[in-house]
Amino acid sequence: MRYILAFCVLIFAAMPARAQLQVDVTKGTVQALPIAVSPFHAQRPEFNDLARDIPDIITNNLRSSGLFAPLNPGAFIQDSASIHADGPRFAEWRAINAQALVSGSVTQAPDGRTRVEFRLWDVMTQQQMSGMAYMTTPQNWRRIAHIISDDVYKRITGEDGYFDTRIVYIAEYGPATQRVKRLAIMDQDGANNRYLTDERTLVLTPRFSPTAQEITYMSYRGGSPRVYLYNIDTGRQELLGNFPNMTFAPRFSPDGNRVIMSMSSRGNTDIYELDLRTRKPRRLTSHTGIDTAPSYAPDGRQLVFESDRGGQQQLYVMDSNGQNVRRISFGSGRYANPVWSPRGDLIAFIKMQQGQFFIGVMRPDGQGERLITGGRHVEGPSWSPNGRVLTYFKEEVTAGGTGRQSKLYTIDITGYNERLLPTPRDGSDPAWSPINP
Amino acid sequence: MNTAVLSRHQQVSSGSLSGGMIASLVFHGFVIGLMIFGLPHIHKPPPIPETAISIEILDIAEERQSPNPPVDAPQPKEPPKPEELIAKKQELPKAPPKVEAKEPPKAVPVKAPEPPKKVVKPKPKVPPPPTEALKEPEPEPEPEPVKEEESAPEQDQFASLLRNLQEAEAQPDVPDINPEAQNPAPSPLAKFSQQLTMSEFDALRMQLSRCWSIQAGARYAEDLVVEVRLSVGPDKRVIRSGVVDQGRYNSDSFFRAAADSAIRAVHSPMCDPLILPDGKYEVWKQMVINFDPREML
Repeated sequence: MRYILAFCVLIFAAMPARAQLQVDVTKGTVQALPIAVSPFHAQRPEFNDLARDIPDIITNNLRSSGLFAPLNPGAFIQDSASIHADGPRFAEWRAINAQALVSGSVTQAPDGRTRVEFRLWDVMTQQQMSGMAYMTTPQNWRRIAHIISDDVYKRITGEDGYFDTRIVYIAEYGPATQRVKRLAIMDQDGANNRYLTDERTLVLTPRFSPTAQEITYMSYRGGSPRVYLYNIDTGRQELLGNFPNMTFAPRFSPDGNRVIMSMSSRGNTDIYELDLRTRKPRRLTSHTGIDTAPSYAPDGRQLVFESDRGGQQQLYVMDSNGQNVRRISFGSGRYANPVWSPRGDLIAFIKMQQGQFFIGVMRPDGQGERLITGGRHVEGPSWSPNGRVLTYFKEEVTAGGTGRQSKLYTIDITGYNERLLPTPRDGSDPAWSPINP
Repeated sequence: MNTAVLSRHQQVSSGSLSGGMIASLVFHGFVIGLMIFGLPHIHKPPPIPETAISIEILDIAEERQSPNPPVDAPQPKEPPKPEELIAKKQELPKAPPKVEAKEPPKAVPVKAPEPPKKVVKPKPKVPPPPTEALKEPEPEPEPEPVKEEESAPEQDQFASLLRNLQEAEAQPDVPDINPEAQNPAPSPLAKFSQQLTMSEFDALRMQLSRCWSIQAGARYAEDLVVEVRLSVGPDKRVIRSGVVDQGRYNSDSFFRAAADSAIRAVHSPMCDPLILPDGKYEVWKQMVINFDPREML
């Protein structure tokens, strides 16, 4: 009896007296997040420069992503010392329309090193979203700023950041007939530019290892184009593989243990894979058409490449053993230089149509093609490690109309926020590094 | 002896009979209750939108006849004054943040900074509610939205999230408009309480749309549908908000970012107070907002 009564009570109690109001919001805005990056609090006067410069770098990084709209520090009501002592007064940050706040301090740790601390606040909910402290030497201040930028980016967007990264590229200068092309490397924001090779050798198509401080590239060292490996830490260069013919278009596998490339022989070009541990090559395609520009999927199980086996340059996907080849590009024009996104959802490519070059993205099954930028000559797309941003180079006629210049750019995969990457000279063939170790 | 046995037998019989009677009554009561409350098609009208549409049409007509702004529309307020800001500063409690140890986020290279040794967490801080003087000037009161008048500016506001030069060349006159984004939202009637009119519902939806920033380009953004539960005060301000799917919030960084964006939307100054009808507090004091970006992607 008691059980029956209890059962009945439970049944009736579980019935809602009235359905809760539900509202579907299916539209929104695409706006950069208004964020306030406060100057950091300096414990001592000698930290004043760091307390000013680190927030400046963070501000610049966040603004360059296009996803954040850093507010003008002149509008800030609360100062850094007050935040450090009392915490943020959220009403004042809300009054200047900040939705997030970055605050921090620079102090000296007991062991003598510099301690940089930051906190990310949600102004609307008045909660701390993230907080970290880093101990380092003052010389690493730029890197600290990039790491903090990555933390902020990840907490707000959910994706890993890409600010603590580098870009390797081909630095170009000199007249067209004697163009100098050197391997160069810089931080993703253009700082700390340096050259890795000298002026004597022409180099092309550098690609970063996803797991090590190594670069593979094509060099005309010795007169014949061959694929080389460059160790950034030691500066050591070595010829990759003992191929009898010209090799080019190298790219690392996702695990960093293999390099895939093209080899041209007797007028035909096919794709080969080289195991970096055993140095044994393996042929993956065997077709009379020109197969080149291979790029692995992030899981290493498939790769995308370009081929004219159908009569025109198009994109194809195949399993990593060379089987199950299928075409994925079917639009008008020619497709080339495919690069699989590190997050796996898109393939970037070059499209040539009616005398114009475009950079586009499509899903790995060939659907959802979008052309996100274009010009007289745009080429060399390379993904940021989080798969959110592409870097590429664009050749343009100079202002006087007499010469050409080649500059590096970045663009968000939405097709917005195209930005010029500052380089001391002309640049081409950019390749993004993974997050710095 | 026999009488005593019979008496006991009758007592037992009557006792078991009354128990059976009660059980039978309870069971029948349960069945009747189940029919009344448990079978919605018996006591509730079927969820066919015709009834709601008639109400909505009437309501829109009424609004068109009334040029005056709604009573509950936000009123313009004075901008903040410096003196009041200073006074406000003094009111804030001082709660130094708590510091706790945390593992480094990544390996330490030779030249890399040392891993973080501490993670800073603030003590829970309960700042005083924002005063009127600290608030941004509220938007001008605007009349209840009329669908036909709103459609054109909405298209401009919700421009394409993903740029495509190919489409732009084909349709040079409207380069940044995503055709999918122009499609009207599906009728909310299926999920919407019939106690709010379509106009009231649209006003709320439009207000929240302006406050919600979508993370275009995020990985699997179409899966980041966030339900936010709200408690709203009689002054139409959000008292409490929370993400329904806390499990995913704590395990999926992409969902957490999308959920945070939704929470920011309901606390945005542009959505404070919410545009809600007077006299229906019982209807909207508790609600669930479903932020669904799929149509925009």
